[in-house]
Formats: sequence, C-alpha cells, structure tokens
Amino acid sequence: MNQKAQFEIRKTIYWTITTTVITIMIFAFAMQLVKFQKDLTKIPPQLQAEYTSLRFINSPDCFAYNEGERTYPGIVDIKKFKTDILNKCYPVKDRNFNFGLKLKKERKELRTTHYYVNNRDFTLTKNVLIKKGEKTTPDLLEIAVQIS
Amino acid sequence: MNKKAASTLVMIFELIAVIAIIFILISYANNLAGSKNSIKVRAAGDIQMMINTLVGISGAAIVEYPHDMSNYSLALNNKEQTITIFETKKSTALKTYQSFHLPAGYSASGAVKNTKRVCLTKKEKTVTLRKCLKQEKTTKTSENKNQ
Repeated sequence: MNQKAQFEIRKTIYWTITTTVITIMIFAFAMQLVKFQKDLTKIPPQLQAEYTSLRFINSPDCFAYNEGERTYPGIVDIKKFKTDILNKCYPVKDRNFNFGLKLKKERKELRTTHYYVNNRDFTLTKNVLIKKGEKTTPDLLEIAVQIS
Repeated sequence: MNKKAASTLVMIFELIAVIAIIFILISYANNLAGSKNSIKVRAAGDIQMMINTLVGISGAAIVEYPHDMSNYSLALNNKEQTITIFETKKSTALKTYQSFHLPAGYSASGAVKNTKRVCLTKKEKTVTLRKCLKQEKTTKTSENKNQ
C-alpha cells in the first residue's frame, strides 16, 4: 500500500471517530439541559394526587354528604360510596392517577377503572366522618394512588 | 497536494468544526435559559392543580393566579380537558399543555390574552378562566407580600 492510500485510510478512520464522538457529545448536552429543565418544573405527584383526591370527601358530586343545597365536606355519605359515583366523580383518561379507596372501619373498597391491585405508588389518608342513616361515625379513608 | 499542506488544511477544518460546535452548544443553552418555557410549564401545572382543587369543593369560588401573566395567552379546552399556555409575542414558541380532570357533567372554558391578573371561577358545574375584575381584590398573605 502506498503512503497516500495509508494517509487516506487514517483520515477516514479519524473523521468517523471524531464525528461519532461530537454527535454523542451534542446529544448528551441537549439531554442534560432538558433533564435540568424538567427537574426544575417538576411537581411532586403526591401534591397533585392530594389536590385531585380532595373531591372525594368535599364534593357533593362525589361522596360528600349533602342535604339539599348544603354540603358537609369531610362527611362521607355511605349510600354514595359506590363505583358508579366514583366513575362519574373521577372519569379515568390516559396518563392519570388511578385511585383505590378504602374505608377502614366500614371495610368498603372502591377502585377506579384502571387500578391494579397491590401495585400502589403511595397512599394518602384522610380522617372522615361516615354518615350512615342518622348515625355519624369517625373513620379513616385510605387512598391508594397509582401513577399510570 | 503535499503532506504538510494537507495537514494544515485538516487543522484549519478541525478548528472551524470545534468553533461551530461550541457556538451551537452555547446558543442552544442561551436559548433555553432565556426562554420562558419553565415559567409556562410551572404556570400550567399550577393552574391544573387550581382547577382540580376547584372542582373538589362545594359551592361557588373564585381564585386569582398569583403571578403576572401579561406576556402569555392561556386557554382552557373543555373537550381535551387541557390548559394551553404560550407566549403571545412569539408565535414560534412552544405551547405548553397540562391536562386536568373534571367530574362528569362539569365543563371548563375561557381564554385570556396578555392579561396581568388571571382568575379562575367555579360556579355550579362550570369552571371559567377569565380576566380578574377590578373589584376582585386579592387577599395577600405575608408570604406573598415578601416575594
């Protein structure tokens, strides 16, 4: 092989390696910047789930007990604690939280459509009162959250 | 071309390539730092949580977003259940989307453009995004005042 051919081969190898390294470097830099920006604007899922789950005990369209126009936030109407009410109160779409609700003392459990058992990401708890006929008793609402 | 001339040419080409790469990376970082993308993403997240909170309370309510939004346009999409925020002056700037979750029978609508004070209202089963009225004064906490 003559000297000129050797030089050409060396040049080709050199530029192939250089181009690859530079491309990787640019992508790594861009990804780092995007990651940094994402971290900067990230909202903890616990906070989002907390706000979203407020409706379960506070809204008359969910489980909150109401008498005519007046709603009693924090009081769960046991007659409303049903799957069809849950599905209306929190219609599940894509990229949502899925909730599994459990009233500890009442031993009643509800799940949103795509909730998979035994696969919770975190749990929120709320002290509630249960309205059962004329009686009002304290209970604990355990809200298991899955991030899909 | 002799060997010396070729190696000088390669060196010049390398120098140009390195300068070009440095320029591209710096301008990309500058663009990102100077863009309002983070502000848009945070505002969209905040408003999404505000809507999720509003639908979780009984009765009517009004809440003001505690930041100046005069450089942005905001719109609620009832069908997709999303909030969209973009810079009004930069038509090429990226739009930011965030989805919220309304109970069945609820609706969310409204849009504002270059509005300093943005308010969200909930009345019966409707959430509306609109400009705050003059008579709607904000009650600021001591924490807000310090900012």
